[in-house]
Amino acid sequence: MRAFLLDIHGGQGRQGRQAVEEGNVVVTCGLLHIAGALWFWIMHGALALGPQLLFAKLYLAHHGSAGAVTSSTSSTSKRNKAE
Amino acid sequence: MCSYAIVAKRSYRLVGLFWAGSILNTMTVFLSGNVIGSWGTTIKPSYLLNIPYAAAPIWVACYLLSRRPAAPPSSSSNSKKPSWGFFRVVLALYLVGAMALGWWRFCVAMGSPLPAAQRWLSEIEPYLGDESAYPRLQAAIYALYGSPFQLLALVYLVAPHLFVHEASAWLVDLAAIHAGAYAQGQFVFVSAAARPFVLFPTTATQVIPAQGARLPPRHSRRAGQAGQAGS
Repeated sequence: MRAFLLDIHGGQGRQGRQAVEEGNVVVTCGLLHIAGALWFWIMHGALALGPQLLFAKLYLAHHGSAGAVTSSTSSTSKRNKAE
Repeated sequence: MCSYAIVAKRSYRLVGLFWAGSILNTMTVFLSGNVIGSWGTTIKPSYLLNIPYAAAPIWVACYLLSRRPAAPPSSSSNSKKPSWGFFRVVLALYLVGAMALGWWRFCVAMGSPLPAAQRWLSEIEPYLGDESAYPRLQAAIYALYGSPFQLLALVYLVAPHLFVHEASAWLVDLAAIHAGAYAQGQFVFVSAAARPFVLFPTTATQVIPAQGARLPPRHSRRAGQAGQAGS
């Protein structure tokens, strides 16, 4: 009996089908899934995390000046109260 | 988070836009994919139950977008200059790559006859060709709706002086919707693509070690090996 360790992509379905049709037992390994498909996680990880970072950047860029205004306003009100 | 913010009387505007973006993305892919995909002939009237679920985030997004907080007074962006920090450069490079990748995957999902597209579909990302049509629709949404926003954000990163305050406020709102859509889309896409994708020829999968998968009996294999050795 031969066993196949297949990665998560790269024609896995085609290879698996062929292996089964040839009379083999197909065994998959989760660890090899991740290690063998590093590009997969990099690409989809970037597609998932990139928009979050972009939102954070735009939010901070937009509200940074607002925060400065708020802090200066609060310090002004504190000064007025103190006076 | 929305519920907590509402109960705590805090602003839930951006969280709500994030949620609306995620639901809009999933409902667009789900509703269209049901009709286009391999289950298109089995649509039942219960399909219409999804309409309120699809309409709610649209109403929430319109409601939240129409209630933008007042602009800070000293935010005239005409004096803004791009500060090319590391983070800004990384984001700009990411946006260029995401746009290129989005359009390439869109071409692949639409069945481009280019050899490189065929190779991508058969050996690199076979899930894009799934019969359910969900991944194709997701790729189309990334290219047709995600890429224009990414181009807009890239222009903002490169030349922020082109944006007045009101425009950059819109950009932040769109970024929240975009982030929600991509978070949901990627979670579902990766989960679906990472599932065991071995296509067994029959629906009855064989459990190891019971019977094996189409393995001939052991004695016949031994006989075959002996015959091969003898010949």
